[in-house]
Amino acid sequence: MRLLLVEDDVKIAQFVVNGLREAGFAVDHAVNGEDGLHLALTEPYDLAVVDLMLPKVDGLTLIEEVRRNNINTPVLILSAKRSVDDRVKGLKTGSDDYLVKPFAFAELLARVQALIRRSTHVTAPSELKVADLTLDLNARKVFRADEEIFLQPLEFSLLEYLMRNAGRVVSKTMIMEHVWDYNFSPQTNVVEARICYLRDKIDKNFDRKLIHTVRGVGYVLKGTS
Amino acid sequence: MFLRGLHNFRISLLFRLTILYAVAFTALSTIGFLIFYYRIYDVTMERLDLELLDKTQKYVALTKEAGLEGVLPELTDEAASEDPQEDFYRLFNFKGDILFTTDMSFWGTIDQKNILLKMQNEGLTYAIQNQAFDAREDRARMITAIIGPDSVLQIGESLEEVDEYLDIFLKLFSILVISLIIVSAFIGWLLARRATIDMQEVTETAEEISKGSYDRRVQVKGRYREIERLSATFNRMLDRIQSLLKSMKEINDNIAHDLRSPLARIRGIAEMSLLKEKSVDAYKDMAVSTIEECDTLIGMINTMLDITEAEAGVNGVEAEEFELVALIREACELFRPITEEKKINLKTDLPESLTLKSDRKKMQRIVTNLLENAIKYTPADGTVAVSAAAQNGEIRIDFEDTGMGISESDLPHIFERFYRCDRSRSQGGLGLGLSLVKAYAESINGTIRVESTLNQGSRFFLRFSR
Repeated sequence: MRLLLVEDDVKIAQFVVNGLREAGFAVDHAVNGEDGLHLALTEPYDLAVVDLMLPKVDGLTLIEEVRRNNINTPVLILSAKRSVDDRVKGLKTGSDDYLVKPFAFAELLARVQALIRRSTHVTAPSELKVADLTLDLNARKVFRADEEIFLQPLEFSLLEYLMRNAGRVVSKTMIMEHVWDYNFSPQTNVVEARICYLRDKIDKNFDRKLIHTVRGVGYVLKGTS
Repeated sequence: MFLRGLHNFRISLLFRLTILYAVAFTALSTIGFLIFYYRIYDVTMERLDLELLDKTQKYVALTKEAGLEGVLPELTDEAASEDPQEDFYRLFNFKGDILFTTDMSFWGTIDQKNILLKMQNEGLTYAIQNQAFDAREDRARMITAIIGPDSVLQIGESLEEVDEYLDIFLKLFSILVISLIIVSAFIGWLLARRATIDMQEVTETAEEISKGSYDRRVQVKGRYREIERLSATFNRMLDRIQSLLKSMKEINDNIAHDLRSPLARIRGIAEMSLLKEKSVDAYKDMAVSTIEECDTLIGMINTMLDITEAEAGVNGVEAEEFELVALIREACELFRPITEEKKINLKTDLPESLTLKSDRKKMQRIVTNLLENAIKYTPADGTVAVSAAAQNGEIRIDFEDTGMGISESDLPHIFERFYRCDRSRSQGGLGLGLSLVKAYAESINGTIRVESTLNQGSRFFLRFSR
């Protein structure tokens, strides 16, 4: 998978490029809108990550220009502007997602992967499997080593989200947003408590732990440690 | 200097009002006088005309009775009894030949033929007019009347007396008008000054305030209701500005403090980890605390922006129909692990269904924040109760806890940004939660009220119009 990053802040660009490369993407980086536009029009990319405030050509113009040339590469906007109006404007120009700075890298990665998944039309699986943990989406049942585990609906949703992002770190904010549909995180650590409950049911009786805490960042469900 | 003063005076309201009073007063009295003057003139003339007509009628009767021979001696007698300078009498036939006349040397010539012609043309038996003369200044009121088959009588009476009388009247009035102008200008000035003196006071206060004395206020006692209202409004505005300034200053101080503390911690930790080689775990600790501090900062900045946006109504309300009971139950479910761990009895008193058309995301945050607060400040084995119902056309959501409560001195301030009661400081938090709740509630047509007893618990009452 090949990605284009158009970002003028060198430090942000550096950690995004490094992070994405570590996640297995080939990343090209442009430091201004003009170079970015040139790359976007001449090279084939699976996704473009574009900052809005750019020197020479601003992000919105860049996206408009790309879309005018009938290039349907999914675009993720990165912006320090957080108002609803800016979001709507960004999405109207033909971008596919919007992430406000400062952001957690885990969230950027999750969104990048979701956009690529969407554009490559991967069919939704009916079953998620990580190591010996199986989640049947149709029957809404969970098995660990062929033993059924009974979960509350919310716990099921939480596990489903972790499994869909298996191997990737998801932050508390992402969990609040995707599992609870809350666009904010309460002060009280409610996610932590839920993860504890889930661990009790999924991992407690097994030697091989699947749910791991990445301190300061979030949680990851993975089969290999 | 003088010119400048004059210029200032020219455009001042005081000057304008004074002039306006004077002009209005003068115009009104002039109109009044003119009506009066012409009425008097008319009445005088009417009386004079009647007198003249009477005289000619007498001779009409005499001609009928005794002919021209009977008229002449009578006319001579009457003419002799009058002063020839005051009155004149002339008798002539239809051709214009003079049959009798008083001494006309005091007056001058009159073109009787022309008058006769005019009367014949219009078929009149008599005509009254003002006749001017070359020999004298005053005019005469003159009647020309047909009194017999071939005789015309003309009687004239000097208007000198009438003119004099009217002239005196005119002079008298001129004096009156001039004094009226002066008096009305003075009265106008007095009235305008009384009105503007209060305004001046407002202006002076405003000037002082613009120099920095924000605690100055205008006296409201004023003589006029308008000025009183202006003063009261002005004072209210000042109160609001002052409290805004004060709260802005407090907010600034708080922001500075609350932003500085995490920054100081981040900086300190980073510095410490650079001073000496450390294990990888120690560096990881540093990274973790840096992320945590940053998240706190981001959360604080975002919440502050959310409050400001809600207060300013920037993003408007995204109204959608949603099930409030489900939303509350979800929020309760969210905190269930916490309440179970703390052994808090979370009670709900909710109807089957309660739909509301409002901003769901904002409502979610309001309910979650209040619930979180209630749980946070309630000790183990306490009770938190949430109830909601539709009543009197509005929706009420009440939160009651058996927590530490809020002291009377803290209660009025808990919705202020960054306000933290001393007892709640130890609990962490940003001091923004309740401000956000209030701003959000008000942005979706709601109100929030609080009651609290120290060490017994607090009750928050939300009200939304449907």
